Amino acid sequence: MKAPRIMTMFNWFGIAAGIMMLALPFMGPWWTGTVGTGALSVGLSPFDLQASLGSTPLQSPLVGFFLLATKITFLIGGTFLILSSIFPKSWWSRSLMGFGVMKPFSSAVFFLLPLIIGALAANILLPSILPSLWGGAGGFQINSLILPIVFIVVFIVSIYALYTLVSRLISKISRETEKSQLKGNIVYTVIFVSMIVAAVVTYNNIPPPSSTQVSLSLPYVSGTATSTIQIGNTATITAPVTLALTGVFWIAVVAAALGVVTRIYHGRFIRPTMPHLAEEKHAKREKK
Amino acid sequence: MKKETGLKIGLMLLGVALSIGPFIAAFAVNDWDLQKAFLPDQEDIASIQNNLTGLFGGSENSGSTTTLENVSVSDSTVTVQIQFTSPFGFAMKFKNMSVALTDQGAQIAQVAMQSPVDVPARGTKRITLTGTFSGGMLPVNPQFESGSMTVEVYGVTITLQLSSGGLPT
Repeated sequence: MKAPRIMTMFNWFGIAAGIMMLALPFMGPWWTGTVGTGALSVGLSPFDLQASLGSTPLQSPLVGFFLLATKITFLIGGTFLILSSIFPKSWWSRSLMGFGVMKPFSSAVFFLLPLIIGALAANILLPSILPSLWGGAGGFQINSLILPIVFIVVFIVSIYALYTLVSRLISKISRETEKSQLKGNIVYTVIFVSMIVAAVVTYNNIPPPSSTQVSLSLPYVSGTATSTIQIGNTATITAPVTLALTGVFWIAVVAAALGVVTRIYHGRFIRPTMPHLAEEKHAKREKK
Repeated sequence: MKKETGLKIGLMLLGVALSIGPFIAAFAVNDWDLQKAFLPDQEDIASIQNNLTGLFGGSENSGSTTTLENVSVSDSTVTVQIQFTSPFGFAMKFKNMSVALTDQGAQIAQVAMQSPVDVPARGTKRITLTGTFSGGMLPVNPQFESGSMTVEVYGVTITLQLSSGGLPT
């Protein structure tokens, strides 16, 4: 049974993804972090950062402008996505869609990355650095930071390689290019696998912190834990830390998935407009 | 093809503008000052510093006032009442306090809080410490010596070890 014409006239995935892209900047934080019951509170999304220390808000003008630019990008991208989905066969459709269709996907992936990196840095680096700031036992030893920093760098490279590989695969599936991407895909796969192996080896060789004065166990992205900092023989600070992804993040994940599907699905609209694909299609029909 | 190329160039320039624009805007509205553009407002930083000064003790100008109001002994139980004035702009809770009480160089009691005490922001509260009196005579010049106290601020627990000299005044 053939689908009704209206179902095939538009890219409905793109319309849904575009509407979500227009709504996401106004839906609140994707992630919240709290130390204690408000000693430090953070609400974070790619569009807004709300941080406060006690009752005093903390705002950086530069960060604020960057987040505003992200918000504007999403609004423009969402608008373009809706337009290109309503008029998928227009000459401008493919270009406009390319501007914003993958932004929810990249936002979701690279939003999680600094959260993971931050927790890694806090759990691995801070116990070595903090005691030296108040002249604690052990002092500051640069050697103790080399392996943790190498691990973090290798981890970032592996995630970037994975993201690039996935983007190339999506591009291939959506038939946006007919060139063979096998060599490039193999390269990125090798990079990703080797970086993951290097990250695991590096992490297993990171020595335990020389100081017992700082015990940080921040959860990775989401969870609850208690951290302890001892300042000489004077004070001990114990703080519960609660991190959580909000429902808005999962809406963004849905938008990201819709963006990927949109890009793949849009290929069925643009394929007839690509001359070499049209010839290929004609040749296949002739064979039959 | 020219239209499509022009559109692609335009979209690329839009992306570049949205990437570089925040830098330019942030510096332009902050007199091209890196510190002002990147860091929070100086008033907010000063407010935080003001609230936290003296929290960990050791500051002569912390502004906190701990006044020994009364020391009484009854049936080998010594009761000490102190008045604490908070200099901090946030509420705090004294969860536990244990201090050695001395008189003329000799320890006469180890006194402790029996229940937590909530102190409002920049407020004053009386804290009662009790313990077993081990001195022979009624105290003449009671003083606080070493001890410890546990304070909770915004859910963060801070345990302070009090050196000789007792409570911060």
